[in-house]
Amino acid sequence: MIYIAGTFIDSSSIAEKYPSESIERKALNIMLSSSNIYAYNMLSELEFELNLRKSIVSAAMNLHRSRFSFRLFRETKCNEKYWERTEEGGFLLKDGVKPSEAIKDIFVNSSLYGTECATAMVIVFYGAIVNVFPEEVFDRVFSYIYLMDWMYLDRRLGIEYIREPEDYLPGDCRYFKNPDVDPLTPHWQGENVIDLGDGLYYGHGMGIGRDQYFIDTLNKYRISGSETSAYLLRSVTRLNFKRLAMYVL
Amino acid sequence: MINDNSVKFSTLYKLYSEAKSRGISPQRNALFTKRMHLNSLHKRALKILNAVRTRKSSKFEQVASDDEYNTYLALKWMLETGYRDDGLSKDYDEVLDAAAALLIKRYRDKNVLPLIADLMFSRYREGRYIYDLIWAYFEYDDPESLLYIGKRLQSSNSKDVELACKLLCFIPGICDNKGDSPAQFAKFVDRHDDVKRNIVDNIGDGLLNDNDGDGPAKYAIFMKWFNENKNYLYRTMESFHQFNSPQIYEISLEAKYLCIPVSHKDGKFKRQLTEHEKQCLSAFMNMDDNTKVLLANYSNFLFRQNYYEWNVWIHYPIYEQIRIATAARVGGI
Repeated sequence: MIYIAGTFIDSSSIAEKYPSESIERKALNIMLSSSNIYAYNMLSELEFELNLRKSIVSAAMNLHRSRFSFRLFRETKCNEKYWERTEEGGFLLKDGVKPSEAIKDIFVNSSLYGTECATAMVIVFYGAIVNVFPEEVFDRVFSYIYLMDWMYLDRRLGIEYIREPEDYLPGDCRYFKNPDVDPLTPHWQGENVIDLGDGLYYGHGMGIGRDQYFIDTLNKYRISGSETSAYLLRSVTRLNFKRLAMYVL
Repeated sequence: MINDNSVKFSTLYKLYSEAKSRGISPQRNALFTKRMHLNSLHKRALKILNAVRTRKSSKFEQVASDDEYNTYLALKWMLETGYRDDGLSKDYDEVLDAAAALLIKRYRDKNVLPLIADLMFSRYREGRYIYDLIWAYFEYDDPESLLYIGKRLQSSNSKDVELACKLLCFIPGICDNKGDSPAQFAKFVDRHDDVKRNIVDNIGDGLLNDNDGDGPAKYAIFMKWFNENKNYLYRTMESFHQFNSPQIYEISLEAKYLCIPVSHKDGKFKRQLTEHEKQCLSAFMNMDDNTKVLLANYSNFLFRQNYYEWNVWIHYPIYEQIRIATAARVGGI
């Protein structure tokens, strides 16, 4: 259910704004049919969220189609025109560089970049926001950026972790866990993925597929003799859309 | 001549790397092993070194299959004598990480936990890669591992306190802002003045000093929490690979209420429940979350204070238990 400024919204009034196969419409349909209440102060907040969710899916698809490679943190690489590679394998925005240009460069000069899946998720989120925010707002809000993994998250990204969400929406980040991972390949302990809608996911290093594809792939990297399968966790990691909307609405 | 009890893994590693760079295969070259006077431990360590570099367990299996015990001893020797030279090279560090992971995951060796903690903290101070070590460390299903991290809250080095807070973020009172604050960028402050300037400009410099000076207070909070809950903790499947403030261990409120220890691996009771305990649990499970916390805290408090009184209390109907616990109202978990 969707609740805007004190009123429940019926499906027809808003859904017809979006083509039936669009990401916005798919997200909207899940929200409208949910028993969970999605509350907004104004319609533009909802529209912002739908737009940003579409942008997350687009950024994930663009990264998948690019030559951005999978590399272990010990072996990451980046375009040193914009980023300084830190000792632990993260990318720190260089002084005097426009943050929006630096983020866009990852998608343009993708072959110069390589990292692990958790960092790729953070890059997808920044890549989505840079395409939704006016450039000057993005540069002001995200004036410093450190791309590493979940341990270093800028609060202004507003990333939230929800252990047991009511629904899963396109643009959410989810996690396939591999509990019996081979100790010599700890980078396969799990895969962070972006929900693309229609049961499809993008995971950096693995590509696009359904849940069984990710489970089967992770199972190949289990400790020998293990019969414990990888699985998709119920939790989600998602942007705080309302908080981000405050910068532009 | 390296056949000496005081020789370290780093020495063997350097000799091995030198030989490899000269096109000699140390393992296959009998002359090399003879000249170096390699003993069986060193030879096995070299085999392990080659195996872990492939990043395939099947290769390690081949080494371990003919003598599991001596393979374990060789791994332990590699880590224990090698960790002081951590930072020798990226490859060397990766070998140490692999040895740590194998000792924890395959051999369940609890004794290497303090050493792995040392490695994690020393690398963190230098801004080096620690994620595989953190993963390996928490793969050991025993909350005792938290003690080696908790004690760093007392460190005079702010980086130690910072990392300890991150790792123990799931404990109430240790990490106030759930780990996603821009203050985390403080890790780079020493080396990146531009970042510091930006943080101060945008957020205010208070966040840069989140942990300054309050380490001992946090250590007291940690120890109180640990001593109250250690018997009821079990490992969740959450990790730093998944998000920024994982709940590494969770408290079994049911166990804390009944004062029965649980398996740290899966949270199951360590013994069968009596009929009375089953009845108590059934009533407990129907309560809301806040009431469960109240009952679990009070039960555990009373159990440790006065077993006789606890035994009387636990036999009251649950609403009487709630009334007494509410009147007493002990602190939070």
